[in-house]
Amino acid sequence: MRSYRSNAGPFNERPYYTADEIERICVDSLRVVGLYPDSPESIRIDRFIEKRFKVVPEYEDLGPGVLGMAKFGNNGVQGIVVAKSLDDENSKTNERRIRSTLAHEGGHGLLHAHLFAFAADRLLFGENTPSGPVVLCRDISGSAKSSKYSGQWWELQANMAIGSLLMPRALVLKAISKYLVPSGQLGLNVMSQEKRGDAVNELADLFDVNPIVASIRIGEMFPENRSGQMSL
Amino acid sequence: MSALYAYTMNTTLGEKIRELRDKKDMSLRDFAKKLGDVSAAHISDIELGRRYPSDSLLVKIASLLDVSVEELKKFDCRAPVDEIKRLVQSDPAFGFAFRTLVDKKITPEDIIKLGENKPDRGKR
Repeated sequence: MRSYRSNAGPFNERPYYTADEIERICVDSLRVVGLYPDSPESIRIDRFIEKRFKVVPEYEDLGPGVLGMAKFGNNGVQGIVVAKSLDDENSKTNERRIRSTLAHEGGHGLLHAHLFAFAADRLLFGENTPSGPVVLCRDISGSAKSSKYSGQWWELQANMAIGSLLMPRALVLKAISKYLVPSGQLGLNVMSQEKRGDAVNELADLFDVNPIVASIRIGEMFPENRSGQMSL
Repeated sequence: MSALYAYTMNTTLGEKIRELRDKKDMSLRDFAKKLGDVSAAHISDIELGRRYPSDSLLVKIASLLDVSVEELKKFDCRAPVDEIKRLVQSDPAFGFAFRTLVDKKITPEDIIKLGENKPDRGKR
């Protein structure tokens, strides 16, 4: 991880993580609390939040469009809150959305807690710095397409953590090996366009995530526009 | 003051439930699902001390955590306000007694010690 000085946004420091670094941080964190499974299966993300950050997930009315938030203090994560509306409607889609939200907030906890360590000495949010814990929120606009960058690098990084926490790369590769074909002289694995839909559905069921989340993860690992370039 | 007494006084019902749930390696959502008709939000509120479980829910919680309801109730630190009111209304001496407790600044430990030496009410 590298850090840059930042004049824009709420922080005066901007950490830069590669995708591999985020993957390693997330997988190591899952392992430390004994929640990295041996084979592809649903990650117990709610238990991870409790064990890793020692907080009980809270459910509150967060206002329209806000799915979750992480509260930070000088000692790291102070609380993780999920929109109560997601829990009220008992559906598979919402249950999975809660899982994604917990993973997103967990991502903030893993990747950004250090930014708040000296919050008392810094004016994180300009004149609007709250006196209590500082929060980072996940809203609907940032949840659909995680790869879209809108200047909020902390949200982009937390979205990348969703994939790594809910669908660790090594487990995904095990799960979808039958959909991969070696291509080019180097024999690099690629996923053909026609098999993507099946792979997405299988991953979504196996890891208990919504298909859009599985689709984004497969897109990150096997970019669609690259499959043709692998033929050397 | 005994260690057990200090532990009971310093641990809320919600914290005790969380501690027992942790020992069983159950997440809050798993716990709510196993309890049946109760939301994770409700259990979260109970563990965070924002609300108390109904008697019927407490029975289910105790059963799932393999403890007795009585054991959990030891951690319910709410004052039985309604019962105190009823006692004062039924016998003014209780009002005088409670006032004395306040005026003399009698400690909770003293009251509990006194209570431990008396048989349970209703069992006399």
